[in-house]
Amino acid sequence: MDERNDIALEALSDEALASALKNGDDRAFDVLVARHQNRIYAVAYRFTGNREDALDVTQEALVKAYRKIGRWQPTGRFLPWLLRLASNQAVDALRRRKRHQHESLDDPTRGSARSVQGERASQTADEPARAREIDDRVQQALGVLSPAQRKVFVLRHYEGMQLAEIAGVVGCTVGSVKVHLFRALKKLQKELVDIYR
Amino acid sequence: MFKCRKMRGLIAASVYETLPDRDEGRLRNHLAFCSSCRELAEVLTRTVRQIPSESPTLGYNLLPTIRERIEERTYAPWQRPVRLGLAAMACCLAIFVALQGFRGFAPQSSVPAKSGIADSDRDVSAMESALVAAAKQARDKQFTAAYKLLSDALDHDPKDANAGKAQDRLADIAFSDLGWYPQAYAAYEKLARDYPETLRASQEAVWRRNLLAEAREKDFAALYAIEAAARGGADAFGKLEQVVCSNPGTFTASHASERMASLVLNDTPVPEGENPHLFAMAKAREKCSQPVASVQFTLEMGLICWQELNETGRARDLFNEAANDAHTVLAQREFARQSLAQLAQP
Repeated sequence: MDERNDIALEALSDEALASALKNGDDRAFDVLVARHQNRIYAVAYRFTGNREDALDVTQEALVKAYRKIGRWQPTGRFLPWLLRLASNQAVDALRRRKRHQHESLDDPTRGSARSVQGERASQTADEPARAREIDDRVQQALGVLSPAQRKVFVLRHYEGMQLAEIAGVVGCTVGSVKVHLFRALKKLQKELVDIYR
Repeated sequence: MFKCRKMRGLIAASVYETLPDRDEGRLRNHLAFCSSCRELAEVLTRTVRQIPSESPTLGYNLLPTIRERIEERTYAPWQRPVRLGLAAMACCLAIFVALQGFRGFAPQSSVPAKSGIADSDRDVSAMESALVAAAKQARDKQFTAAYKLLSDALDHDPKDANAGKAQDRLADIAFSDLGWYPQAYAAYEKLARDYPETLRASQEAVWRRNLLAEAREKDFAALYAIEAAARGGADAFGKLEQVVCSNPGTFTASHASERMASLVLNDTPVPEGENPHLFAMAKAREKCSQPVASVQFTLEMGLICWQELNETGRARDLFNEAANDAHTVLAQREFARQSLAQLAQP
């Protein structure tokens, strides 16, 4: 009986699951977590730049989603609401880190130190090492973006969200999203100009 | 130049998306005549294409950790409910007696009127308004709305003078009207943690907190089983009896017994002069087909005589009957002995 119910739950849309959670069905939360935790983590990682902070942000965002589900309105989509929670949580984490002058940690899963800005990639590096280096540089470059620019870029570039959706997540107009995106791309282009020679 | 600035947003958007026809036309026309914007668009497009778009993956399931965090936020570690053995249960009952309280026999359909009615001669606080509004919603059977109203009011002002009352009412709605047991558990734990005086003043709340803590050990399965059994139509009594037999001597069994007694009262009028609660329990005991369930009702009757009616002699007799019954299981016998020990104290 429980297995049948679980299968039925997994077939529900995000909005149906969120409504079920609002009405007290805790199992709906389990399905939502399974469905979106990777995505939230990815967004959090792009913000924080390290796995440890990203894990913390992901967990905090999902805990917040559980506790604040009463504030989600069934008239709107669930994922933008969840991403807004997550990106706000990530921005808060960045602010706390800056306040404590916390150095960005090495990613323990990679086992490699961050590249120093301006360092040229080795022409003879193997493909995975090169890809990691580019990713490290991109991650560093994201650090020069403002919170709004970073949110917009991460959601557009990594999550593939449409600009209109991003506007809903960030809480601004589509026009503002486009401006943030433009400024983000300009900054990134300037930061990364040397690694693509 | 001004036009170039206006095109920036479109240039950025065009890197990722197909623009609407009108915007596409505007951008194309501008790029045809503006070399700097044309170069900018090319550079940005090249940059985006060279930035990898893969994202890191978690690699494992965060749900257990998230669940732990949710539970940690519900109560502080030093206030985790103690697993109540029957000895502790009997002690809780002794405390009830010392405080001269009693559980009370509340028919399941009742909605206690616990809302604060504001004095019209003074300003009404937001919390008082919320309590009044929630009471009205509950009368109209809009329990989810009432729950949300109180929850929002408590989030907004947890230190209001009526916050304890609101928290108690919130927990009550979750438990008795909505059947939201995880939320009810959290609400009663919060009542204990943040508004302990309000909790202590309500024997019902104390009892429910104990029941929920016990049921939580198995994800509130027993409580859901009781709800399902109570909806079992003609066979509701029998199904509830099964719950009692599966959980003898526990708060869960006590809760199921109350529901069984309610069912009996629906069919049988209370004779003049009889205590309705005791009468209902006695009638339910007569109707039981399982000896273990009968013993449970003997214990319940003992508690009523002790706590509600202050008939300690009769209570003693009932607990002795339960302790010496050949069908009594260990948990029930222990409960009877602890109750007798409490009664023996001066």
